[in-house]
Amino acid sequence: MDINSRELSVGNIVVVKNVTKIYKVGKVDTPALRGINLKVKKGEFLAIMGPSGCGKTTLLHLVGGLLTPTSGKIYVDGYDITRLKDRDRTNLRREKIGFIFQRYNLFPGISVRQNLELAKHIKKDEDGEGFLEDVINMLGLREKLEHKPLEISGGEQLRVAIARAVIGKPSIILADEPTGSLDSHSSQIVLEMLRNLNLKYNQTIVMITHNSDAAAYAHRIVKMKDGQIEDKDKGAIYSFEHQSLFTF
Amino acid sequence: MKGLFWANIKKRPTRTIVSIFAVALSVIMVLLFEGLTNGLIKDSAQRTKNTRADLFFQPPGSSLLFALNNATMPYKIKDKLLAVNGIKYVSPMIHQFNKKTFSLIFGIEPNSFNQVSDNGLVIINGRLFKNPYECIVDDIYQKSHHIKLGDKIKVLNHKFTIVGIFRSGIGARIMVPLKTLQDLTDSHNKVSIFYIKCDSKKDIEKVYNYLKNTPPFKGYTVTRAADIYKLMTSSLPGLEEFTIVLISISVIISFFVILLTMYTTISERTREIGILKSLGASNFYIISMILKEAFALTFIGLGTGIGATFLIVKFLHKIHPSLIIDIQLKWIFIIIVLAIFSGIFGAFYPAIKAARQDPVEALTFE
Ligand SMILES: Nc1ncnc2c1ncn2[C@@H]1O[C@H](COP(=O)(O)OP(=O)(O)O)[C@@H](O)[C@H]1O
Ligand SMILES: [Mg+2]
Repeated sequence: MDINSRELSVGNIVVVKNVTKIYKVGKVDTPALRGINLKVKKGEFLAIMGPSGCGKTTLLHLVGGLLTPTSGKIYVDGYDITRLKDRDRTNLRREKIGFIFQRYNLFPGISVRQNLELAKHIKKDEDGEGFLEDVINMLGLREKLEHKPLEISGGEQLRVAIARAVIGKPSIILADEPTGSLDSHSSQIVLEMLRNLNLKYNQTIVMITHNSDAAAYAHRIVKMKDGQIEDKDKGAIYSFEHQSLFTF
Repeated sequence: MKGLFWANIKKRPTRTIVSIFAVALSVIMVLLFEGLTNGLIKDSAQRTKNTRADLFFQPPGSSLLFALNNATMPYKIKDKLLAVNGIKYVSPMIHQFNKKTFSLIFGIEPNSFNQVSDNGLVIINGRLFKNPYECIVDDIYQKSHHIKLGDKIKVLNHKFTIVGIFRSGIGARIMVPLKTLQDLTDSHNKVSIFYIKCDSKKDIEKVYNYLKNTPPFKGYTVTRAADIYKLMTSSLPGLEEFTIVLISISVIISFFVILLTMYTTISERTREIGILKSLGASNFYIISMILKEAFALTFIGLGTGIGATFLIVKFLHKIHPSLIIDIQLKWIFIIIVLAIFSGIFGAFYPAIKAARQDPVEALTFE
């Protein structure tokens, strides 16, 4: 492995190195990422901000192994995922990654409980009922288990999406504008929960957001523009080392 | 897993039902055809066997599908046969297919028929025919055609009066005097078959070989009663080929219906498949999910088809009590294997296509 061992030893769970991504649609090339460098520490809650179309979702999908970069390297938990076979990337997704999509992407035809159990089934989660029950309680979903996703509010749907993402205790949660369609009150509740999960289970969270109030829940904010990371130095406004600031 | 499965089945009830019915139809088609031909052959073989004849003697090149042969053998061969060592009785007959009743008619000599069959012709109502244009029918024919003694039926364009009802299970359902049938078919002193009774069971093989190898009998078709069923099946021209064609059509229907159903379903469910992949579902997981759904459709279709076949048989029996339908377990087994086989194969391409889908494209798919 050609990973710089020093970068791993300081506890970086995600390392993105000189990554570019060009989408080819027919004969048209759309450069979405133009040389991204990013490190995320284990247990860190990172927010990514930036205008629409700057490549945030693309970056998230790359880190989650749903896409492969055009050039550059991405290390997740020590694995060079750009060199993994399709099958191994699937395994990595299953074991290490939890996605929270912009539109939640719950299965509308089945109940909340069935949505969660399906994820548990796929993740081959062997934690038993305990962890899932704990998460359900923590997210206040107990009363909603038998409802279909469309029968509950947007905030509740997001909480289901969060619960689904944390099943199997992945080391990284990737959230794409989770509070984008919620009012600020619902957003606060959910972000609070997300932060509690981060603290309780030491899960790394990378969250894309448009909203600086939402971003304020993170340890660190990274800003993107035109497929690049902006103000690399100023990015570290809040230090991960000062996480105690945000715990209550 | 199960939840998603049922949600998908329920989401498109019409399509689910149509594909189940298509599979069921292909099952019914094969089972009913097999049941009907088998029943026909078996019934006819059984009734021939019940005459208790040991051997059947026919013109050269004849088949045991008696109806297809004309009366071409001189009546007087009867005496030559009776002279053979080991032969006890000989009953000359004409087997004639009657288009009007769509059934087999036997022209018999009651005396020799009863000798061969050990008095197997049992009149349960009325009497045996005495005059040329009288006939007897069996109780099944009577019941299914609501016949009273004295009614008339048309055989070879001549009216026959029904004077007696005999117990079913032997020979044909309609029997007329041999002499009359000879006259009507312009085959005076000719017959189409001799039923032979041997002195004892031990003599059958000996007589059989003698008739096969000794002039003037050599060249004639001789059949042992034990071989009837086998010979009847093989003598139905084209039956095997037709069965193969029918089964192929059935397999092709199931295959394409499942292919089309699963292909449509996966193209509607790209998002679902994308989400499953983002959750870490492997290709194997996706493929087996699609195959399981196809299997379920095929299985329900099979069950519906087999169940419907038995309902149809019940209904046919009600309106046609004389119809014998024999659906063999073997054929049920064959159709189960074939349907599942074609269903799974039909789903294979859609399953692979689903597994190969790019998760991101699927997730952004609107
Ligand atoms: N699947 C795709 N095919 C082609 N172009 C894409 C695709 N996804 C995103 N893009 C383009 O890449 C750029 C970055 O998109 P995205 O990563 O979704 O940005 P953001 O999430 O910051 O809004 C945009 O110009 C977008 O149009
Ligand atoms: Mg986006």
